[in-house]
Amino acid sequence: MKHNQIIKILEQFRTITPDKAYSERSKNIILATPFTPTIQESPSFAAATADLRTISFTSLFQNVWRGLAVATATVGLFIIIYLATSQLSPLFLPGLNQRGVVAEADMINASIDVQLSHIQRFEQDASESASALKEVAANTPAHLSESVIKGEQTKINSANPSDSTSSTTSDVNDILNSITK
Amino acid sequence: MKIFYKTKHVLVVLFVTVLILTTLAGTKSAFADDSINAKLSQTKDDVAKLLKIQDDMTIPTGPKQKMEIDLRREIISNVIDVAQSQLSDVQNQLSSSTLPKNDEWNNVRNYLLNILNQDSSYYDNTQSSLQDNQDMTAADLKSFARALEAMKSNNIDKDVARANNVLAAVNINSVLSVADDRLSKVGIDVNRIYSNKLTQNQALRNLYNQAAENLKNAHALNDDSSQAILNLYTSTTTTSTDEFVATLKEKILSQKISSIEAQYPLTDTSTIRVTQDDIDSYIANTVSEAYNNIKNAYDTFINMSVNVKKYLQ
Repeated sequence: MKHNQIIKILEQFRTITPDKAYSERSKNIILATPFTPTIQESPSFAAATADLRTISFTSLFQNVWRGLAVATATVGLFIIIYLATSQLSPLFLPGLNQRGVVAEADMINASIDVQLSHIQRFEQDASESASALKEVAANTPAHLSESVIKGEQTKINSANPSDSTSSTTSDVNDILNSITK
Repeated sequence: MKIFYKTKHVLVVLFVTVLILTTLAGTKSAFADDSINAKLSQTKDDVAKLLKIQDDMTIPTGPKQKMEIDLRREIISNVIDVAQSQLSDVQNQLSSSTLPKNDEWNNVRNYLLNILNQDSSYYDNTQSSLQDNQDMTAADLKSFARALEAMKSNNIDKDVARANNVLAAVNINSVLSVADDRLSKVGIDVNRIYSNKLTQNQALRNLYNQAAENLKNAHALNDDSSQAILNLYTSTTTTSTDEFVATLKEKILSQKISSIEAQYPLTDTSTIRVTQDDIDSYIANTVSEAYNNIKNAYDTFINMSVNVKKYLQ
């Protein structure tokens, strides 16, 4: 087909019109279709505004939620990166963590001390009970009790005037020496 | 790896549980200790009062004798109460302690509880006898006190001390588990330091080896004390038990001879015998030595943790 012939056929398409009966039927169908715009059917302007507000709150909430999710994911990512790098770092030495080791040592020592001090305490108490019984069972003369005599000796030493005088004299000399220096 | 972590967690939980139980037992013991202290303090005051009355020449003979007898009775009665409290404290601990759940350790527990129950009955009977015989003279009370003191010092106190040593020995296991875990963590860090060539200084490695040696000793001592307890503090004896006891006695005898020879030369060692006291002392010393090794290991761990930054500079 030649070029001119094609142009001719295409120009003929411009003159094509629908059948009159078809046009009329189509128009009637379109006009018969119900038209329901949302805002126009709202009972009032206030209701329409309320609808708009609901929509904006929902979207605001969604935005905040999305923001939080992004922030949490970012923080989580940072933590993972931090942990991974610190674990891989040659200076990450959890076994030699001073605070951890000291706390654990305190716990261990407390447990050991409870056991050992219990044993020592028992031995000491048993020894005190034994000496009390020995005193009760003793047949020593009434006026030769060692502890009574020692008690008197202590009293005499503390009440000895020459001792206290010499001690006071020595104190006074010390004060005088410190003043004259 | 998962199992390793699980085991570690179980050990830590176990240790914390043991520590809580020990603390609770300690709290219970603290109440018992308070009552024991109060009675002991009163007993000391009574003894001082008794000696003072005996020495006092101003009190007429009749009232003086009555006062002396009353004080003697009170001292004896208080001493029995104190001893009974100590006994029941150790009985409670033994009943509620975390002794390993197997037949061997059950035998040890039953053996000790059986002896302690007999000791407790002795104190009950002695107290009853003292209260029932109100007409005892000063001489009677003196001989009563003498018999009580002999029984207490030569038998019952030793039974209580033996039970206390068993409780202390059993506790080593939980403490050692935590210490072993620490050694392995510290070992990982020490390997990391030297494999990454963070320092040329060998101090950390040497300290680690020192702590490892301490814990190795603690394990060996713990095994020794456990074996001695299982073979000695039991009513069920077998051929292997007899053989173990014979070998242990030879070891203790040899240590005893060396210890005496360190003080003065011995011409004849055939007269030296191993007594029950020697065996009890051996177990007590072994337990104490195991604890000292664990404490030393922790001193080393602390030293390493405090100085690690200095070594890495």
